[in-house]
Amino acid sequence: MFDDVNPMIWMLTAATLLPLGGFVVLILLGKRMGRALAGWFGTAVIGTSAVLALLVAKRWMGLGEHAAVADLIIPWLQLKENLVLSVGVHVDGLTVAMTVMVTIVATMIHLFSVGYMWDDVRFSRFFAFLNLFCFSMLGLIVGNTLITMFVFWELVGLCSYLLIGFYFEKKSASNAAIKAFVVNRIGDFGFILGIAGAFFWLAREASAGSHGVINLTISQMNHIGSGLLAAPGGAPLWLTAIGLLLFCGAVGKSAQFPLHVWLPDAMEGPTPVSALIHAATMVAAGVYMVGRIFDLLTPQALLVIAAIGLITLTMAALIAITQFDIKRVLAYSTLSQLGYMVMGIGLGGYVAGLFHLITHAFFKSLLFLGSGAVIHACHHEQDMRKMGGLFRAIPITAITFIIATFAISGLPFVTSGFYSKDMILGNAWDYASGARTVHSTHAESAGEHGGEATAAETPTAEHGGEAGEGETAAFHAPALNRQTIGAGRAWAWMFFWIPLVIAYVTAFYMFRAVMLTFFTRPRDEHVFHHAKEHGVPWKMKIPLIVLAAGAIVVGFPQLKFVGWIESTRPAEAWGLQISHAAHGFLFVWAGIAFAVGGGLAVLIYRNGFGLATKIRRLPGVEPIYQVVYNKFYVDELYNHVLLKLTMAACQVSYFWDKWVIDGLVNVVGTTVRSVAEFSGMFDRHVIDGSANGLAAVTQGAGRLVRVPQTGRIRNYVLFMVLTVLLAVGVFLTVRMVQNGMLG
Amino acid sequence: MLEAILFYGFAAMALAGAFGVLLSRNIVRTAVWLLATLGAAAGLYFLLGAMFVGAIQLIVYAGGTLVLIIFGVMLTSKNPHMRFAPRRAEVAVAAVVCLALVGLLVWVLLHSTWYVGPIVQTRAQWAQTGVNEHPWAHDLQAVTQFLDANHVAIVDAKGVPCGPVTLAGLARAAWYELTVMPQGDQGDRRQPLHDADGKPMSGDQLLAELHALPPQDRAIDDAALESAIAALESPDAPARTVQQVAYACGDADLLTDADGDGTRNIGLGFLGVYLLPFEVISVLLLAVLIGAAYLARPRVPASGGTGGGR
Amino acid sequence: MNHVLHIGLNHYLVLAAILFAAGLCTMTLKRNAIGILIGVELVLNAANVNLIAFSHYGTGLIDGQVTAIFVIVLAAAEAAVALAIFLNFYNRLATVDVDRGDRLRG
Repeated sequence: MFDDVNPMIWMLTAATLLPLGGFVVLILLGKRMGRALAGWFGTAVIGTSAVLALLVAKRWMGLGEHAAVADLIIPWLQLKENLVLSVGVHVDGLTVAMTVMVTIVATMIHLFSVGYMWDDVRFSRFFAFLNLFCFSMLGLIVGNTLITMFVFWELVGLCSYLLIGFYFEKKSASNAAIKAFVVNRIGDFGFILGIAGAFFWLAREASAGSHGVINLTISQMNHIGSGLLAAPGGAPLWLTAIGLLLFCGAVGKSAQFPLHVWLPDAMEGPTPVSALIHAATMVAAGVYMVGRIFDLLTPQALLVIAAIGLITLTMAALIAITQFDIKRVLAYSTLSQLGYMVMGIGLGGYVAGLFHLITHAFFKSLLFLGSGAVIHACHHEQDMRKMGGLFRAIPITAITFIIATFAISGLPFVTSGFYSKDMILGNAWDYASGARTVHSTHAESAGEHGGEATAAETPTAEHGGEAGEGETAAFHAPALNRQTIGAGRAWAWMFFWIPLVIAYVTAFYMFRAVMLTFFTRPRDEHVFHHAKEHGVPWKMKIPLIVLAAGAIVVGFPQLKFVGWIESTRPAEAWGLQISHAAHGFLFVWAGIAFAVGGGLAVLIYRNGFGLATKIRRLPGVEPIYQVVYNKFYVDELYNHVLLKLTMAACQVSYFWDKWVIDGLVNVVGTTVRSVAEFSGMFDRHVIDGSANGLAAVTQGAGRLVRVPQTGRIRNYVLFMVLTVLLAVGVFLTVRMVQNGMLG
Repeated sequence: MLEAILFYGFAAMALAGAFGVLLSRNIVRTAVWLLATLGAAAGLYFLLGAMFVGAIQLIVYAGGTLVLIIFGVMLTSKNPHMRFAPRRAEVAVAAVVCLALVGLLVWVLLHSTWYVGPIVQTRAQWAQTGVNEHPWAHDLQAVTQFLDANHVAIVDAKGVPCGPVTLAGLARAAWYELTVMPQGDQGDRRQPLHDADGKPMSGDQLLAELHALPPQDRAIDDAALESAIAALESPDAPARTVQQVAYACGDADLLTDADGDGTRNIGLGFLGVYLLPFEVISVLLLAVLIGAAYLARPRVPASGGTGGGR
Repeated sequence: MNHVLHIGLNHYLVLAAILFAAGLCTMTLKRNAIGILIGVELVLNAANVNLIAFSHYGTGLIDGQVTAIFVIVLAAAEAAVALAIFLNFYNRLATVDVDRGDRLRG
């Protein structure tokens, strides 16, 4: 059965299962292994996974345009004659890209953790959990059905719970862990409903259309979904519902508004965990999942998704400006970037969104590890108000951090962030201008053979990627965009303008963080000296340098990441091409976002907080500042509304209980009681009287009968003999009377 | 005369022992008095010709059981001279009851008709002993009629014609046959003797075999055998079964203790007629062994100290 | 005189009856557990005398003797079990006074 399976499947399966083995070994033997062995073992395990992933990538690259999707489908549950629930492994370009990203980033985080967590008492357990986390995420990526995805999805949730609450002695940490878990549950509830719905409806749809054996892999679901979407009457309503329910899971996992509240609190976990959650594993899962089910998303669902992304990216970026905790700034920045990805996919920019996911993973993990290094150097000080001037103390950390900042702010041409963000904004422009949809209906209306079309486009896609910057590629063969609602309308432009402005804001808050942390005069001598004396150990520096390199190069098309994603693009999603108009505009206005936002931040914060405080004193600024600083009061809103609602419900049910239920009970009780009293009288005088009389008689009889029961065997023998004597005597007397002898 | 002297001697000894047991206050002395009674009982058994039982009585009872009892006294008494006097009322009641019991028993047995009496030498005398009122009488008569009709003389091993005691035993066995296996039944439910090849033996075969035996090895002398054979071979004889031949030949060893002490018969009985009770008793003894061992095992005191523990 | 000198079945039966009554009386009056056991032995012996006597004078067969042997064997077994019981009794109550074992008193 497995003889003809693609070796890449085995390699990826091994890469997935290795961290599980590492987890088992570490959780069982971790304490006996000792710190050094446990740490290096955990790192080596995930490192081996990374090597395997890179080998797969090399192989995949070597195949070039012959690279074909590999699937290992294992039937699991025969539901009907032609309906099978299956599990298995799915390998395509996206899988390869994600696996490489996750394993490399995770390896760096492991390595960093060896240095960062060295003093922790639960060192080996930390690595066990990290390994389990990686296993869960890799399983989620390589799994080929929604069922495997859900299982690993929940495992990811569990790992996040374990790791966010790693310092469970801290009340805030355990609260944050519970919050993350519960908030994720809300999303997961929608997700599992969506899975159930998808299985139910799609299986029904498929069996009606006789698709042969229906195994309900994600690919097959997408196939069925695209068929439904292409139907002349438009997609059925339930498909929208399924798409939105599935998206609920992504809202929870990828921390989109309104379930974003857990992510900033997740900062309570150790910093490497934050890096892992924010970059490689947890939040990536949601975006990845939305990308995977792209063909199940109707235009209506996509619009909702885009809107959610827009809200999230805006809100989070604004909040990020006002935060002082370095990790919180990064957390809101993650939220904002996730908003970009989700919005990108929502607008049909499948490639752009997932590409941004990959590039973001590198520079965001770098930012978090950098902040971890800063925090480590500053003796676990996270407040930027106490930092400043650290460039002199820890220059390598500062440089890598600044590189990551350039990447996230989108420094043109040389950083990965520029390419991916530019692509999202370009897609948004094309959507808003509506240019795309007009041609596309004619150009590729018959583009049902997605695989072929994609394969054919792959070489050109690379050119297109290069050309995207060089403004040379012809805007040819545009794919049909699924997202047609609102295309070309005036209000659609908000999906372009707001993210563009937020790109400036992104540059601003990131440079603010850089300025406050590494430049300006040191605001706390103690922290500064601690950083200067201790510095950053090499185990933490190496990951920073590697990831910095990644943050720059991963966006280059030569690295094929974007090509791999493009190869899996659904027929109706947008690829790499961006219209000339968008290109021209973005080249200028997105290009200078880095310079304008960053320059403004440098200007304002060049001397610390002085100027910023003055700006806050301007009329009308402070109330807005307070609102933003308090994260738009979402948490408070939840607390108040939910609390009030719960209390009101409690009051209502209390009154219901007290007056209606209790009243009923009391009436019944009183009735029963009076009946009982009557019956008691009857009992006492009639029943008891007769019973007592009987008892008295019995007792008296018992007393009489008791007398011979002395308990002494000897007496019993005597009684026995006496009885025999009497019996024989009576017998003989009767006999004699009968025989006339006595009488 | 000697029998009377011996009987009264043993009886006196037994009664003395019994009353010694009853009246002695010291448990050790009680045990010694019991020894006297047991020995006297053994003497009486010898007197009654039950040599084996008497020997067993001495060995097992006086030798074994009594020693067991003495062990019991040793093990259970810190002070073997300890006395527990019964209350006087109890003594009085017990005395009255037991005297009444003796009276009743003696009265009953003296007024009962037992199938015993003076030893009768002839069949005619035996017929006058009132045996005809016995429940077996009908069958006995049938047997005797059968024997008479065939001119079979029942003799003991010494060639003397059997007395009624022996004949009674024979008759009882015959009655067994007659009852359990109705006459005329062609022997399918009988258990015939087997020859060397394991085949059922016919009456004629048995006779031939008996005839081939040297006279000292069989319980029937040549003359009796001749007459029996003659009787059975007569043309008007009914169908001969092994049992009939056995009866006819007076192979009375299985039926009487005419040979003397009867020990051989007891052995044969245990492995023959009484095999099942014998086995049952063996199993019972095993159970007793295990049960006694269980009861007498050293008790590990429960750590919690349960109620009622020592 | 003939009845006195000519020993017959009745002589044995009367003797056995007296032995039986003596054994019974012993069982009733001894407070020592071992004493009760001895009384039982007396009763069993009386029965045995009866059995042998009937065997001799009655059927003339070995039935009575065999039964007597069974009785002797059972008496030995009974003595063993009884002693085990008495040992337990003694272990619990530190005495062989059977009147102390009156927990079943009504």
